[in-house]
Amino acid sequence: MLMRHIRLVLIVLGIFFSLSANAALDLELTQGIDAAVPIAIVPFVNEKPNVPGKQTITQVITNDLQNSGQFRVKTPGLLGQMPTTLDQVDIKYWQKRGVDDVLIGSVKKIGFNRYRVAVQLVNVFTKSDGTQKHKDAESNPTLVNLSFDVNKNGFRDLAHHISDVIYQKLTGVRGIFSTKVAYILVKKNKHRASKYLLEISDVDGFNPQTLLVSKQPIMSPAWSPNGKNLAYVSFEGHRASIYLQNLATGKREVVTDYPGINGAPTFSPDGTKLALVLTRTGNPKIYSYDLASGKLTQLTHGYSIDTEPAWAPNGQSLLFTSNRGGTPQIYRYNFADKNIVRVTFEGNYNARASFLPNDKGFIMMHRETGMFGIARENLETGNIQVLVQTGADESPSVAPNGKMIIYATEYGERGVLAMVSVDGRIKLRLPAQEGSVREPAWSPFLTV
Amino acid sequence: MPKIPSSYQVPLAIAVALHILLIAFLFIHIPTKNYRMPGPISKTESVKAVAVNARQINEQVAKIKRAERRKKAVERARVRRAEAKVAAAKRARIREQKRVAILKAQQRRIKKQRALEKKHLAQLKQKRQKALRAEQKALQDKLLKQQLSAEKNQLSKASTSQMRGTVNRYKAQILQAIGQNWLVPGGANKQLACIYLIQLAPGGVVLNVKLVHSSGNAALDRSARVAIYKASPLPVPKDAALFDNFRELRLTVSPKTVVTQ
Repeated sequence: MLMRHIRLVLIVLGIFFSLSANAALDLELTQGIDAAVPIAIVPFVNEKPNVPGKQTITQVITNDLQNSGQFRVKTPGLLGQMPTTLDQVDIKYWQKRGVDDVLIGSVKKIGFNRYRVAVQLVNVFTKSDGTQKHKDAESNPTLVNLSFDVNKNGFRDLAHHISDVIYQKLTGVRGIFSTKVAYILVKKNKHRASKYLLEISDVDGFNPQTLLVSKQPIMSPAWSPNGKNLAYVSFEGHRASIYLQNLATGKREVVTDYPGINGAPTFSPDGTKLALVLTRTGNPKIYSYDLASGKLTQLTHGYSIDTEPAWAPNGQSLLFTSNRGGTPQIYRYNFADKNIVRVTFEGNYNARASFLPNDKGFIMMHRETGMFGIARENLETGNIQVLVQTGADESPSVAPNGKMIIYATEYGERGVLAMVSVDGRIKLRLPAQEGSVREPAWSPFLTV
Repeated sequence: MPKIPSSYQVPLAIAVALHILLIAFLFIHIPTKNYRMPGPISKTESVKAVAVNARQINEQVAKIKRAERRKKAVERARVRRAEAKVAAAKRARIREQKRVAILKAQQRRIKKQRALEKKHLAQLKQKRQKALRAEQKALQDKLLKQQLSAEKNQLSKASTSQMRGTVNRYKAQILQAIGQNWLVPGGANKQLACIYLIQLAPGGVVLNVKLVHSSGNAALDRSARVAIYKASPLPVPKDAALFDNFRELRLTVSPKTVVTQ
């Protein structure tokens, strides 16, 4: 009897040990897909198309996420489930519909022109541990649970902010939906002289605000690193001058108005200096201008044309365009040893460089076989990847998160703005305006 | 009838012989002594005395008397001697009886002891047998176990290469299934890696997924978990023994290469 028991125990133990012996098979996954994340955006409870632009909040969010290229937004049809609270989110239902995350929300009027907007983002593949608190974030399916109080005019900014929160949560990268774009709008008129406007709009092209209107050309808008000032070139009074304008107050001042060219201003990363182009020696040369002291330092010399300086994010070098090699190419000026090296060798026209946020690469205008396009070069390998090439693509400007590039192109014989992702996968055109748009400049992150 | 051990047979035989001798001596020797009486000799002497004088007669009488006394004394002495002899014999007998009794007691004791010893021996034997049996059993078990493991080893050795091939095939299929569902977040660094412990039910249904090492990028961690659940049920062998290898998976996820679809 006893022996039998012992044997049973031994057998059980044996099974146990044999189990623990071949525990946890090791596997390593090193390849994934670069594809958009499927997300369902359920129309918010009680939302109306009262957002400036006659849209609803979820329409703005849908547009933002869809245009980022990182998301494939699904909106439930009439017969689909429309959960309004976290409890109503049917995990299995959304899993079957091939959705990773579900956004729900509500709008509630809480006073005169005052609304409370609540949003929740639920990951349908996160198993809740059953508790309300969710000790570790890993077991909390609710990724976002926020509430905002705004007035009607704030709906659009709020929608962009919600897009930013979702984008950051799901991609790990800060979103750029609340940033702005400065650009030059040219309104041509058959009977009257052309009008030049310096404008700033949301990145989706909505909400344009005019900073300056001039009958003479305006060029090269550049953002200060804190996003509070804009430097640009204006030909008011028929001579080029560099202006610095405060966006909050609208006040502006002349930075340089030397005889000849005053062009292509760009801020140093710390915001204390401007790199600009002057023709004080006869040929366009790169200068550094100290904003506090007004001290001017010439950085490049010689008889070539040097223009379009772009400061490295670490402030230690500059990229600029020069024809010193015969064709326009990108060169790099090093502040420490004042050395200049050529960095582009492919294509017969490379210009208008701007660094990516990580210092390791830059974006430029690139011409190959007579077609202008936008290309990215890896500074470590020297490899060039053409991102877009429609023939008239120019003036690329990099988003502060380094994921998208805005550039000017031609569509229907008009200048329009377009975007391309830094990997070239996503391309989209912004809504056209009356007139021609050129020289877009992407702002830094604006919210603190 | 108890069997007498050989070591006691000789002394017992001697003892029995001695007894017989003694009994024989007691019954045969004593009657012969009783019959040897000196009657006829004194009869003839009394006839002669008639013819002698008083003095002579007196002398004669005295002589006879002395002789009689002497005779009586001799007789008494003889009787005494006989008596002494009888007593001695009696004593000897008693002694012998005592001895026999002692012997018998001894025998009894020996018998008792022997019985005890026997009992003890039997017990011992039983015990030893028990121990032996246990030992045998243990040995048998051990042998069986050895045989079993040897068989298992042989079996596994024989099928290891085949099994490894099968396991590897399923491993590749699992990685493919998860990889096809893994949407790498845009901001993920190629150097990052997270590790998940995955528990599978027979049939490959994902029961539980636990993050054991975070990549430091929550979005990357989450994308991997979503991919694991999306790929459920994972391709696993139907064979129960083979499936045992896949009950628990330790999956390292790192976006070394990202494929554009």
